[in-house]
Amino acid sequence: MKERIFKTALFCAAAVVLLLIAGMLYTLILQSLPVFRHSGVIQFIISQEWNPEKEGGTYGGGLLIAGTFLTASTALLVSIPFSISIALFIGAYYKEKPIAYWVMTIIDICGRIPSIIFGIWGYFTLRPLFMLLNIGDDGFSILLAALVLALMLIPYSSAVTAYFIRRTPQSIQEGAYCLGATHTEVVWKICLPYAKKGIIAAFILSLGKALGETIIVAILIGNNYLIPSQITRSGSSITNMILRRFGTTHELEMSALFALALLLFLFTFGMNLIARRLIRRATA
Amino acid sequence: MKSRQTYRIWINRICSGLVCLFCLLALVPFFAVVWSLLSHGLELFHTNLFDQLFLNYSDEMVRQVEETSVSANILYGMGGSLLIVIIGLIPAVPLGILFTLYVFENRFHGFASLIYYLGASISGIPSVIIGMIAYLWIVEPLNGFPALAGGLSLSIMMLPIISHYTLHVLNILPVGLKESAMALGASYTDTMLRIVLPSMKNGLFAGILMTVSRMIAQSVPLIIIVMGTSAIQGDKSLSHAALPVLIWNFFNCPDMIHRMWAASLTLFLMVLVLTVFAKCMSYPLQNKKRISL
Repeated sequence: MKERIFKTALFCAAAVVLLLIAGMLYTLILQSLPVFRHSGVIQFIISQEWNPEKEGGTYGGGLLIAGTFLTASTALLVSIPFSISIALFIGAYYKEKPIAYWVMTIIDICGRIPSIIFGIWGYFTLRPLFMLLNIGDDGFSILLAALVLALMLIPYSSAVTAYFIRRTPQSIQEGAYCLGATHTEVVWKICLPYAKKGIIAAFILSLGKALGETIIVAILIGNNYLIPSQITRSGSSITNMILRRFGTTHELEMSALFALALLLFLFTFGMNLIARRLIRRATA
Repeated sequence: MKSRQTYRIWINRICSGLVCLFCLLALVPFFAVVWSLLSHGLELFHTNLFDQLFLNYSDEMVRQVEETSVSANILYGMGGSLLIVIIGLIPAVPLGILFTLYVFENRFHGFASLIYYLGASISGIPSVIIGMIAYLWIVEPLNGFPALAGGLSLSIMMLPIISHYTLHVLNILPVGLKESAMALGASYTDTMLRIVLPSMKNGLFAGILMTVSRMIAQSVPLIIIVMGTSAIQGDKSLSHAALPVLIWNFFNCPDMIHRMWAASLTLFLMVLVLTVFAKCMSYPLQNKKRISL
């Protein structure tokens, strides 16, 4: 009897997690139905107008989706060289040295700085700099948001990348050294190709994180409903829109916000599944 | 031949130098963040920081015409943060542990590994969406209870992290422990409840502390819930419910900027203390097998 109860409890826990995800998806779909009925799914995704004051209200997420992807991909591009360098520093070049341990500890602590602190730091330190250089609208720009976002991504992606680089078997590396390879040749021709899948997974995970990051983007992007033609102009993103407009009295607008959330959910959850699949293959 | 060798050596030196340079460049902004936190925040620590102070809400976040004063103080915020995290821990810890035990025990079944992927992918869902859903599940039907909704949102976000740490501890537990208990005639349940779980105690505690240190810094779901609640109830007394929300409110009040730095420093120090404590606890575990992901 006890046996059966325990096993049922284990199964129930697994079922609850499954139900939780299904429930979230169901809630999001249910809430976004009114706006999809109002303007159609495709129209909602590509339309560029967001006006709750207009008769009946028009809601289109095209600009927001573009802004989100532009910010996140810029942030990812900025973060890649730095994350790979840190990962190579602690995972390959100085693997056995105490300095690698210290850098790893510092990066670990940096990864725990709350994102709201990054946001306000960007606002009070980087924005005046941008204003001095005359970039962006009043200093706010997609580039500013992406730079601070990249800062938030670096600890995470470098930790995951370093983990995969460290997994390169010692015997292969020693073989290469025996054949006369230099340190750099071992890193570029052995470690990086070996860890390729893991590194790609790390950057997909980072991109997912960047897409969903809210507070940094909301503080720094400028909250301007513009076509994101240049990264040096202000703009808006899905998460910024949700944070600014949540709790609005327009029912259809709330539904539109949930529709945006649904799209973001699908993007990020899908990316996570792909990345985890890659990680599994890399660690198998 | 000689020149080829010199070329390779130089390439090696340049690449090593570049790696060090980029590494250093990447660390500079982090020091700048900590420096500005310390330089702005510390000067406020000698004033009476934890005194009752009154926030004047005229910000667009609350979006109401009249201005109201709400008492807000950092000590309240710290208490509120801890309370919300504890509310979140109550369902998340048992659920996370049982879920991971299920996955670990059935790890050769396709279904269990599928569930594990889905569960781990929860960590990829943006916190803003989890906040919206918690608001919809708790605040709207019950017409209130934002702390409960905050706890729920944090507990959803905690699940994959607790599950990750539990799996880590389960992986480094000696296989012989479970097998010898079984060999002595203990039932499966007894083995799990009396042998496996107690021997995971320290590792789990460290994992939970790590989770708390991450969750205490979460601002977005709480801000979303507070915004939603104040929109339907017009009640702003909740706006100082947690430290990150307080920081956001200070940020939106032009005359409270200096308090914002102090609150941010407090939050950072809380996270740091919890992390260091958890690291110290998990140090013996890490020595057994070094996995950091």
